Amino acid sequence: MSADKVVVRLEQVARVYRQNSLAVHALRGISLEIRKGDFAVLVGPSGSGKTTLLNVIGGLDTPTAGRIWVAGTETGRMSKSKLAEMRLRKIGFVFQEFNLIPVLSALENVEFVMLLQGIPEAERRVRSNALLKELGLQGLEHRRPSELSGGQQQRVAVARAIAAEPIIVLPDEPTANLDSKAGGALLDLMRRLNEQKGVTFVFSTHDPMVVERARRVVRLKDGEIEADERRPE
Amino acid sequence: MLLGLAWRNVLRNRRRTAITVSSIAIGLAAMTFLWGFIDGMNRQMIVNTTRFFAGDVQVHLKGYHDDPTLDLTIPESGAVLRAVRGDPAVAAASVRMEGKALASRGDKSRGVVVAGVAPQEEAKVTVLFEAVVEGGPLRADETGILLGEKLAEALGIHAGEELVLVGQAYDGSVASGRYPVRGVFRTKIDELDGYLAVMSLDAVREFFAAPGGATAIALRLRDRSEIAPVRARLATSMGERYEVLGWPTLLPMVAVSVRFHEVVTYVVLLMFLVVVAAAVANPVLMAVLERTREFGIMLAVGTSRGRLLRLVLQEAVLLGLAGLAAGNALGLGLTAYFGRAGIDLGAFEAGLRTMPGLSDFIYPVVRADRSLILSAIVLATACIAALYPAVNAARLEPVEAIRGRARARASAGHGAAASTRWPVFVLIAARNILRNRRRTAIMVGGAAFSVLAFVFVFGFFDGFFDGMVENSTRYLTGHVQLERAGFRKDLAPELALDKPAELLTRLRSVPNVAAAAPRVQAQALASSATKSEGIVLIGIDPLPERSVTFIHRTIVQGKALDPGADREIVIGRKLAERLRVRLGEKVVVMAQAADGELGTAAYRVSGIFATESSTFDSAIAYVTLPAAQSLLALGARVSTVNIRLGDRAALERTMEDLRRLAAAPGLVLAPWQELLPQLDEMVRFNRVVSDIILAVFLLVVATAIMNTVFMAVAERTREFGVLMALGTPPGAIRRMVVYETIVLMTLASLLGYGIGIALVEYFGRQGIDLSGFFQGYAAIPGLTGIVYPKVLVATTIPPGVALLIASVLVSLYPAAKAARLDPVAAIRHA
Ligand SMILES: Nc1ncnc2c1ncn2[C@@H]1O[C@H](COP(=O)(O)OP(=O)(O)OP(=O)(O)O)[C@@H](O)[C@H]1O
Ligand SMILES: [Mg+2]
Repeated sequence: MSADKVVVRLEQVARVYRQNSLAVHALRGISLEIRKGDFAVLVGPSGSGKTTLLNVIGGLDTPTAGRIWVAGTETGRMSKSKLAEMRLRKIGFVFQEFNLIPVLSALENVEFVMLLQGIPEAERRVRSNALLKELGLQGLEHRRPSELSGGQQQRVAVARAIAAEPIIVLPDEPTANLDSKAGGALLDLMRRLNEQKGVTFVFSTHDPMVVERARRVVRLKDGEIEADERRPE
Repeated sequence: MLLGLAWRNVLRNRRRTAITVSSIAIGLAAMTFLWGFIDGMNRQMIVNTTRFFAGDVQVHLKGYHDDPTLDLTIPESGAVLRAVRGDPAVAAASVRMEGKALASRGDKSRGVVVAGVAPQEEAKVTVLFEAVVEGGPLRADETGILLGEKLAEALGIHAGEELVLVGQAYDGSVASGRYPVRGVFRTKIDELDGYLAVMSLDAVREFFAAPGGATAIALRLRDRSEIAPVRARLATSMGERYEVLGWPTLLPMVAVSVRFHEVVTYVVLLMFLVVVAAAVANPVLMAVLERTREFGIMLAVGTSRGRLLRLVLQEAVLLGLAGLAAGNALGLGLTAYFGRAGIDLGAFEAGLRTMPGLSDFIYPVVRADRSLILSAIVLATACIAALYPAVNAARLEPVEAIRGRARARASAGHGAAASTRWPVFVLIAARNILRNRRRTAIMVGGAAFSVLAFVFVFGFFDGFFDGMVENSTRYLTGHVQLERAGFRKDLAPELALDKPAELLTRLRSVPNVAAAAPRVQAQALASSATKSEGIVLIGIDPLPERSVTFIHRTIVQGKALDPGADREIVIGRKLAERLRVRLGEKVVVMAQAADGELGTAAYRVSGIFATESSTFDSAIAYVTLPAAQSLLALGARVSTVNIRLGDRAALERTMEDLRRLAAAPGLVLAPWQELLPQLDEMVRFNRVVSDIILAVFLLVVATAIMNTVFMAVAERTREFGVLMALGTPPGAIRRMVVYETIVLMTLASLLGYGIGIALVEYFGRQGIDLSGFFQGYAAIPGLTGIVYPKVLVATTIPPGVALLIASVLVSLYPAAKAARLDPVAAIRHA
């Protein structure tokens, strides 16, 4: 694989949280490459560092040691607003819960990132409507998050994450709050986006069904990579 | 267990605790300080004015206070002195002998009150000797005299020089003597500085030929609030022959201005209290509101409603007590500090001369009872504010509470179109305001109420002073007086204006001059068959005068002067009593005419007037202009032209115009501020006081707004985290918070100004009747007791604008905090 296909590269990344005088080593010397088109899951026991790793990759959190490159640019020493800009252009986050901006409708939530990017209104509208339709949310465009079910909210969040065409999408336990049917549907959707549009996904999960359908599985334990296996399709 | 939980809740959310405690503390501290300030001001006014000369209580022969003549001299003061010194409440007593005399130096003379005191005894009762600014105080063994500063100025005399006193002795003979001036005192009280001459008791007794006599015994009490019981005790022990009077009777003007001050400042204090209550209630209300979900979970796991309420109440009490401790420490500390150091009002306005009895420094007073009352009110407010949303939450079904009640249903359908034209952060800000209606209502309501209170308090002040200035200038002076330079000092008749007819025509042509009336004024002696009194004689042109002043409306007996009634005189009620003349009887007036001769004329009393001022009623007499001109040998000349303006606010500009038109050497134009300096000082003094109140007000409201914005931000921490994760730049988040504040404050200002102005307009028409608070007090001219609040753009708009700017500025801090949130922590935020 050539280097230009590497989307994210981590080199000896560590993240230490200080709690009072106690140091919690959430990540210890993680080195990892995410390639374009990856559909990877982070698995590991609770507290093993999955969320921390996703946050560090996405520039939401900064490592205490090591270096990170996103699309060839080092993000470790970026200022807050540079990081925000980076997230806006290149990253799509999906959180376990409380994902959407409560005062905006589903459609507006999907448009939000594009709006920040300065994409013209007409294009925004077309793309968001197409995405919502693709995700089976037609008819719900004008509802507020509080009027959607958990699975619907999560799908809107995925739509928002991919709408602006980031180079990588980072869902953190996206199916944890969904039943197996809704979770399965969401997974199908992401898989389809990955295959048809080539969107890169790295997500954390405890869900065996998700692990089963991943093409790359990174196992974490105590902040270290225990195993990194690729499964040929 | 429950208390432990309350503690932990208080400790857990440090920011919420800090916000709530600081709101309570700042509100309480501000209120404590303001009350102490106002108390200090009122107390000082009493202490200063009474301690200079009046004392707390005086004993005279009955009737002396109303008509102070030597006929009412206590022949043997020893027994009386022993009696009053025997009273346990009396700290010190000083015997005095007082009488009227004419003081002269060279060609200048003035009527004075000569008071004889025993210096050592007097020093235990009053502090007059400490007010000596030139020369030295009095000593018992010498014949020196102390003069008030204004009196010394009028006589052109200094310490070390001599003056001549002439008067009528106790036995009716002429008394006269030559005395060296020992010193000059300055009390800033006109009645003392302008008329009082103090000598040793023996010298005055000798002057009036009344050895052993006394007209008054002045007392200082150990506790001045004991006046009523002391009066009652002494009145019974001394019997019918004597009168025992407290300082409010001795100094009715001071009593009424203190009273007036109390009433006005308590109105303001009351408004302020409500604003403070709102400032305390707001964050507490929001803090509990924010926890609806948490309460839902507690209810869901089986906590009883009663228990939940007790928990909230205990938390509120804990927070409240912390706030009380901090607020009392801050408020009492500040008050005590300034109580020692004083607040220099002179620093706020250059050239401010203070009201009678007030020095430029105000010393706020700390009082335990006030702190207790304030603490109780603030704590109760905090508890009620906390309980209200908790009761609401406890009434919810747990599921509802967990889902949160702030669900926007109504506006959901119309979301789509809006995001196109509006910047998205304005949209989000606007939707947030709509989403959480209750929070919006609390914020807008609180801020609107503050604006309303501003508008009302200032409308009240403005209306009050406007009314007072308007009424006062209607008594005599008008708004502007044209005169020859130096005329006002002595009312010398020869300083008259030539060609008044021409002058009048010119003056009346000036825009904004509503009316102008010519006058003759001079000092004169009015005599009836039995008595003589010094007066100011004023010659008026009846018709034009009516549109400048309302002299004609003060007539209580007989009728006003008509044109051509040149043999008639209108006198004040007090003067009529003193001269013992009635309607239709004759009064002879003597005055020095412009040619130096003595002019004499007899007039028939055709009217008696009464104003609210005893000074006016006892010293002024009106005749027609021609009558006065002929008495004073003025020919067609007049002393002054008095002008009434259409719009007093445009005084400055009109003065310019007038100056250009009436420009002649030796002519001066005096605005009302110069004609009524005491009134001007009172207005300016109160302007400074109201500015101080305004500043404290603004501080409280600004912190309340900041705290509320903080609450609103804290409540949405997770939402900010998500916005950040999506790549929203920090600046945009900051702007969003500020936009929200601007929208809320604009709403609040509109609401506050709307209601405030409506209220002021309503009361401006109805009047606020405070006269009930002034019953039993003599009145200040122009002070009617009914206040008509008035909206003056110049004073009502700036506070609102300042509040708007201040609130946007203070919202920058929570906004910056929101933008600086750590996104990971924000998303994890519970
Ligand atoms: N803000 C923080 N302060 C202190 N310690 C933290 C903080 N955030 C995470 N940790 C610690 O870092 C470690 C990794 O946490 P992380 O959230 O990444 O785990 P995770 O693998 O996502 O767990 P889960 O599967 O339960 O979500 C844990 O031990 C956690 O306690
Ligand atoms: Mg996690």
